[in-house]
Amino acid sequence: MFFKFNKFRLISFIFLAILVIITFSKPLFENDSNGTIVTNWFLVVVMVVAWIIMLIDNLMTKEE
Amino acid sequence: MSISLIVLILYLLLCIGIGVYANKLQKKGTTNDYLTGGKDVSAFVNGVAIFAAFATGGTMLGNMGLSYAGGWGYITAYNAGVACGYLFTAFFLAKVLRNMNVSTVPEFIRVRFNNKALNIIVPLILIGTLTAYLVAQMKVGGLLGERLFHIPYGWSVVLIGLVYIFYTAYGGMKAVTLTDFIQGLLMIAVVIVVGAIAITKGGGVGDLYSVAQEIKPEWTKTDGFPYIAYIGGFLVWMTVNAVLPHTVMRIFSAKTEKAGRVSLTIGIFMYVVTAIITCIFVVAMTIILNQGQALSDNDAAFLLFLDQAVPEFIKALAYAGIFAAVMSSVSAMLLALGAALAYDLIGTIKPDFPEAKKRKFVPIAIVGFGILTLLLSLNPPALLTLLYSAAMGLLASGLFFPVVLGIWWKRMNSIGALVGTVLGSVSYLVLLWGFELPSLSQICYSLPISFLGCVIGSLVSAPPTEKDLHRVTIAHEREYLESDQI
Repeated sequence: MFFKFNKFRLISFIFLAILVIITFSKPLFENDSNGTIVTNWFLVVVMVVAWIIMLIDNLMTKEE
Repeated sequence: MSISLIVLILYLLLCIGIGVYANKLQKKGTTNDYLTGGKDVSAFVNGVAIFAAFATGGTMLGNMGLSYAGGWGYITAYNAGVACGYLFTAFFLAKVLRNMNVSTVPEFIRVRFNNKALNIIVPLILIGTLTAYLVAQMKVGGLLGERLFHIPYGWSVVLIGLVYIFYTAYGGMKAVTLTDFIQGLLMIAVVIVVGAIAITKGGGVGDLYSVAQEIKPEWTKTDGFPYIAYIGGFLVWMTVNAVLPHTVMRIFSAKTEKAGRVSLTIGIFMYVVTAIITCIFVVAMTIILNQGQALSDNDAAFLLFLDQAVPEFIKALAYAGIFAAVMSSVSAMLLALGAALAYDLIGTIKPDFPEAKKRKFVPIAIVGFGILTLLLSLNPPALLTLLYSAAMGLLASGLFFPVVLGIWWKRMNSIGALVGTVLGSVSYLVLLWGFELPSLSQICYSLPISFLGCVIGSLVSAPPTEKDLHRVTIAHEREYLESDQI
């Protein structure tokens, strides 16, 4: 039904998607840590994690 | 003559020189070479160029204004969307698009679905949305020229317009990539230097942040915008990245498929660094300098910081950096616009249009669109921000799922792509103009509608034949060659 996915990419993207869902969850959006809403910190984490995943993929995956 | 104006003139002359140099390099190339830069751009150059093309005048000014006025979380939702969009493009689109040997997104749609209506609708969506995007950027450039260099708005627009139309039309993707590379280096240098100044003046990262938070507590909260606007902002910038032609075309200009992916990784790194430094550290210092007072023009937050905290020479470089942000984006978009008309639309209407004529026609189309957008920018529409945001939402709503499912789902056919494109685009426009919804939240509804349109349209009509899937199937394994034609 689908073309074959690269396992690392699929799993890491699902992981990132779950992180995004948690980031935008109401409890994080409505509560703060030291005055800063937790969602704000998580959004920074999402950006950095996305970059780290891409970096790992570049190291793992050769020319396709 | 002020130091700022001298730096600007030197910078514009450099852009013109690069255009001439790029033209000499690829005089004998094909249309594809002209649109992809000959596919020999290294990963580093391409990565910096990707960053420069994506980081617009809005990134340098508007994002900081949004952070100052509405809190840094909202604009960080946009930026997190951009980062995830780069990852999505690198993981799920780059390899197949590159291996299919296509030059533009509409060309992918044509090759994969071969549907006459789609072949006309998709380039038209691109031409409409990119024109709105381009005019918005040119307006920013004109206002900046007026504000920073005291050049009247109209002359400012004409000056930027003539320079970037020249090097884009004359040098093609090669010139756009090389100028974007220089512009990207200038922009990241400015970001790092002003970030270091903000942190040093603020007494270190911790003190800078906590003092700004104490002065303006709402800056670290999420009360400035409704909850769904955060999700909408994230979704628009994640999904539009996958179909924004001036990002996707960079994958084609890289030397190899891996170089394309590495470029995106470099681009995302520079974008994330810029997002954190500008929207958090520089804005924190601006809050301290202005005691958190409301600004008459939020987009001027960065300019206020430059006036109050930065030496004259750095300020001149920063001004050139902001100009660079505008020009790098408009040149990449103009190239995509010329390609959408001459390569995709004319290619569909007149499939037997000779290659030699096509090669000559693309630069003419670029000049034509350049002059059109220049004229529109001289007298820009009042609701430009709305148009620009709508353009990005429309592009993502209409094309994201047809492209992604077209690459990965074997059952996806031309009817599904057509229904998904039309339902996604129309529902977005109806929600935008017919209902009072928070900014960018329309996509939270139009994207699922497009997805359902693609799936239902495909399932109720005949599945694609082996011939329909031939090229995309090969592209999942290796590069498609002319000898693979059936």
